[in-house]
Amino acid sequence: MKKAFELGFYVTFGAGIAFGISSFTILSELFKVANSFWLVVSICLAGLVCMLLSSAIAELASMYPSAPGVRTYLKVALPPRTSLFLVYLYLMFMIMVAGIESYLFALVVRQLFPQLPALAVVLTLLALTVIVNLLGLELPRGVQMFTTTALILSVLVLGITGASTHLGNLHWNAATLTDHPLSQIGDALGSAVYLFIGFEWVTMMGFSAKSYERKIPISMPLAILTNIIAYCIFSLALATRIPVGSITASAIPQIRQAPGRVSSTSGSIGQMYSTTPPDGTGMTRGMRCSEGVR
Amino acid sequence: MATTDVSAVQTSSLLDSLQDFQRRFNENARVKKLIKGWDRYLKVEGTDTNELYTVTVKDLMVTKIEPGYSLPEDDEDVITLQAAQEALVRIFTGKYNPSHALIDGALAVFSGDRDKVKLEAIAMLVWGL
Repeated sequence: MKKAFELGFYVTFGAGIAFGISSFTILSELFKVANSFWLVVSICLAGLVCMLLSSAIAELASMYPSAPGVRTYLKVALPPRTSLFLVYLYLMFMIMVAGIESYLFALVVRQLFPQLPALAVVLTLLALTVIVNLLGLELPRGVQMFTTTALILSVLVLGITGASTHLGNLHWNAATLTDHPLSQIGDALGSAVYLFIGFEWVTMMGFSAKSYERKIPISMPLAILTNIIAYCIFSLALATRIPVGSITASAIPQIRQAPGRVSSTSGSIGQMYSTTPPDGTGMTRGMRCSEGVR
Repeated sequence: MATTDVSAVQTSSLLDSLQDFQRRFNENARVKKLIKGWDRYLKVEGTDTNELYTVTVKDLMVTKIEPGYSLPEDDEDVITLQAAQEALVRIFTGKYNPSHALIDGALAVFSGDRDKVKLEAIAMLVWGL
């Protein structure tokens, strides 16, 4: 039981960190460069690329258990100046991600409360994150697992409910498959990899040295697989229910998918997962990562 | 590898270095303020020599340093520190900043995030690192 809990924690942590609000924006962007079929293929290929990367990360993690991830790996592999330069580059990227996540969070909150100014929402979220970190507040592992599982399941349920009876709307045919597939995959693959970034943060969470022998290496591909399934089903649901033009016109297409399109109940769930950071820690992906780099 | 030589004490073994740490820890009034309500067991493990000690922090003091380890593996009050013996000796004599050791990959720490921060703060107060 304890072993299953430990593995479950690693899987949900990895999946939850990667599954940020900006994931939905990336899906919206992917619809600009690929049709629904090649979009799903690109997501699967990006997931496979990340699984390959995860095997290298697992090897490094077993060599340096509990080390602060990329900071240690770069320091060991490269000269000090080069490694520090790359770490700062990485930190800047994470700060940028934190900004994007905050902005998207504000957009979603404003769907619920249009009278709230976006800047106030962003600043409040950032301030709350700083306070949570300064106070050292942390949800129990069980609660983190529960919230992440509930949110990913809600995405799956909404996706399946939305897509199942309307698969005919996809209009997949020979033309869909032969319409410059390499070009579509090439354009979508890079962005699709971003959907999975964050799975590697689990390497800092090992309960003991033994965790790095099997559980953490296994947890990373499992977390990626979880997200492949969730992203693919949700993308198909978007494609079956909403015109591509409407998906690509919005940075928060999940809002268009939920209210009034499936049912009022699932619409409420949609709003909930849109506004709740799925890592269950009260922080969005970028903020969690920035905190982790410290 | 960053080092800060702030201690004149020369130690030759892990046990000596832990005893030196115990003395400095217990004499430091600021550390006592920091660790109110923080009773923990430090499981100190030399990965190359398999030398193992359990350091008990209780009632604002390091009360015991015992060879071996007899507590349950999943005890949440246990903080596990693993490193080569030489690195551990340097860490517990204030010659190697534990934060640097962690980043260098020379030290592995298994505990909650708050305990890691607490250990960093203790190192700052005991050795001024």
